[in-house]
Amino acid sequence: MKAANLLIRCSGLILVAASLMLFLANFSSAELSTPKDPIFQISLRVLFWASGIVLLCVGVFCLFSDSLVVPAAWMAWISINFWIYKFGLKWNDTPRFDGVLGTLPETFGLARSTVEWGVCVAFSFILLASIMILVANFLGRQKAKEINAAAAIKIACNHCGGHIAFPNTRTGEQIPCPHCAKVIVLKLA
Amino acid sequence: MTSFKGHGHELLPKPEASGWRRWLIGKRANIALLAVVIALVFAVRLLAVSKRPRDVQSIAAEVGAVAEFWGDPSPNRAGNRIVFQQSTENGVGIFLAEIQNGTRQLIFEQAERGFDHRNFQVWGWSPDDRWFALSRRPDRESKREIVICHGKTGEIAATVAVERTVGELAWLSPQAFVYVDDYQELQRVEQLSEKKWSYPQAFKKPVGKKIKLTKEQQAVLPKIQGLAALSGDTVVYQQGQAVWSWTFGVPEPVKLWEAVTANSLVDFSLDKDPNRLLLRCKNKDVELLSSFYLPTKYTSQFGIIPAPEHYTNRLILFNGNGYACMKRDATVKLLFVKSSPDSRAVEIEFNAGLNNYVGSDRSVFIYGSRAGEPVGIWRYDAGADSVTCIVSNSQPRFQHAVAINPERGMITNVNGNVITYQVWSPPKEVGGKKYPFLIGKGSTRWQGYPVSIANAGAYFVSISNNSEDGAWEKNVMPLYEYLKTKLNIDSEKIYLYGASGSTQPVCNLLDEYPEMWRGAILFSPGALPDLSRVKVPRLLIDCGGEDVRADAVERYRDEAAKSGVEVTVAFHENAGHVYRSMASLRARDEAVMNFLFGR
Repeated sequence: MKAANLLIRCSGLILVAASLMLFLANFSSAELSTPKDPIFQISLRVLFWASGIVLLCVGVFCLFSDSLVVPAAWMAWISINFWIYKFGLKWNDTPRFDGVLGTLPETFGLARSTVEWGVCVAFSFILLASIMILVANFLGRQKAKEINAAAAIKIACNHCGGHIAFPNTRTGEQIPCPHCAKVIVLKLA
Repeated sequence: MTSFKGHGHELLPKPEASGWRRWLIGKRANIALLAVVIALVFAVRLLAVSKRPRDVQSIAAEVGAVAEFWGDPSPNRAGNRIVFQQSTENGVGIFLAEIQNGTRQLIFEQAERGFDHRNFQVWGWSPDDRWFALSRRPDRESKREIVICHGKTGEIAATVAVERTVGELAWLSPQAFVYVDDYQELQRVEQLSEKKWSYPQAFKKPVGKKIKLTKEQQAVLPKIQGLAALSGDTVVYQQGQAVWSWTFGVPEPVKLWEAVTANSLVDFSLDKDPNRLLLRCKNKDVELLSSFYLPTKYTSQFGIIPAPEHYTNRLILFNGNGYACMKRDATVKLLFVKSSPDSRAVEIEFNAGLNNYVGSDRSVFIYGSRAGEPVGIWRYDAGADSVTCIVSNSQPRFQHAVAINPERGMITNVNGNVITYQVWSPPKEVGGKKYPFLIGKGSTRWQGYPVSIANAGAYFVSISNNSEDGAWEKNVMPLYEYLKTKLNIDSEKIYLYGASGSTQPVCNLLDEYPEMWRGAILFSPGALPDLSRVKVPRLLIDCGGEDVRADAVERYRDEAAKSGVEVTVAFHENAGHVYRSMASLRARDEAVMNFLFGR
């Protein structure tokens, strides 16, 4: 639980940082004419604004959400989109990622290869983290079911003899029998 | 009454924190983390900004705000006023200045968007200096017109709508002028009243239907040049290799003189003697000056001017007695003036830029920069043998930048040919520190960006195109090899630059020495590097949005992104192939500085 929380918070921070970087790159290159993105055929500036806003929203949600599954699902969605985009570029005869980084590396005084590498590492981390959280959550639920199943108490209705199973936490409760609807007390046999 | 004495005060229970406050308190660790990440991103950005030389933007803004001069200056006959074109913030203005005190006034301004220099010209003064004529076309939808202004006040006295672009204009008298249009037809306009001038009347009476020529058809028409008034109703002009005269009302022109095959006619001018024309011809070695006497049609040669290497743009002055030309060699860029065959030659140094010059009775008016100061208008008075700045640049003094006088030099390459060059060096070089290096073919004009670049901390080198090796690109490598022994060049930051037609040699050099360059800057490119072969890490293309190549640059930019080549494109919305407004010139300087020194 703690590890999952940590992974989600880290991913949220990465996404917020990425969105800020995109915004700053756009601000610092206002005088330039940006190329069209080869996949969406929209200006890189527009793509930076749009993806920056999405990253910011998901990042903030990851940081402040109490849930584990929903942020992890958003993280998975966003990182899968990134990888689809990256492979789409390759498919679209764009062998290098450099061309769609625009002025991002210059804005932060970083080498283009560093930025490309950093982006890939960040989205790989987010994808892995989200998969780990989602898988752990799925496995956890299964296990809980099994535990619950193992911990069930089975009795027969005093009135109709029908079988009733209940978790031991509900011992002592009065409920209507699911078979004959007469009130019975849940107790150890 | 209930007494509370002795019980002390009961503490009120703490009010419950509101929902959002509780939430904030609960998430304070996350908020702190978020703040740290935001601070970190801004810190990296600040670090990148701090690596740039100081005052880069201020330098670009200051130097880019220097208003450049365009066209030719037009002094009046009395020599006390001058009309000229100069950049304004958003376009080009025509100004009238008093030569005595340098005060100037804006006659009118034309926006840069849609600016066509052919339809924005100063055409000179009437014989009595009462008027001066201009032509303009405010935008592509407007009609072309000739504007007649008062010579003293600069006020617009009248406008004459004209159908076609004015090619040249000559005043016949204070009340009439003639112009030639782009169909090479002569048209006469005369004054009807104080504020009214006639419609243009063609010398050749139109017959039949009006024919509309395409631009290509217009381009091949033999061009009328040197239009001048011989009398109140007769003009004289050059067309091809012949000089013609045409009297208004006579159906056909008369051929006065034609060049023989060995010589070609360069130009001609009028003499003070109304019966004499001065002809300038050239053969492969020399320029020949001749007199042509109109009454007798007799020609006599009276002067031979040698045509040494590096002497260009010769202008015959002072009734054929003298001439001015531009001389560019290893050590100087100067105006060479000889006012008479017997006088000594005067060499006026314009080391940082020599744009255009025109002659008048005994003076030469020059757009130039003598020692790196922002370009101004200078007058060489042949009588007094003095050079004075008559219109200084309106730009206030630099605060962040300094005026840089380029250093000139020469080397001899392996073929034994001389390479001349100019270097703008950073003003405060620090020993041991290495500086970026830009090399390419510059212009003879004063331009702002070499000054900005040097001020920000890089060497800017311009090679002269006067080598017998042919293309200047062949001299780039030998010159770099030589200069790297003399200058503190950062060999990791060597850039190429080229403008317009000079971009093809830049593309060739990028192809030939791919590992050599950190990047290249292409201004208003005529050619673009082949994307499948380009290996240079960075390219800046600076182009006017109105340039005919703007669409090609846009397509290239998208193709480059697809190919993974880093191409930075700066479009200047209103600019054409040549940038005219201060806003575009400044934006160009800023784009170059951001590209070289980081954004």
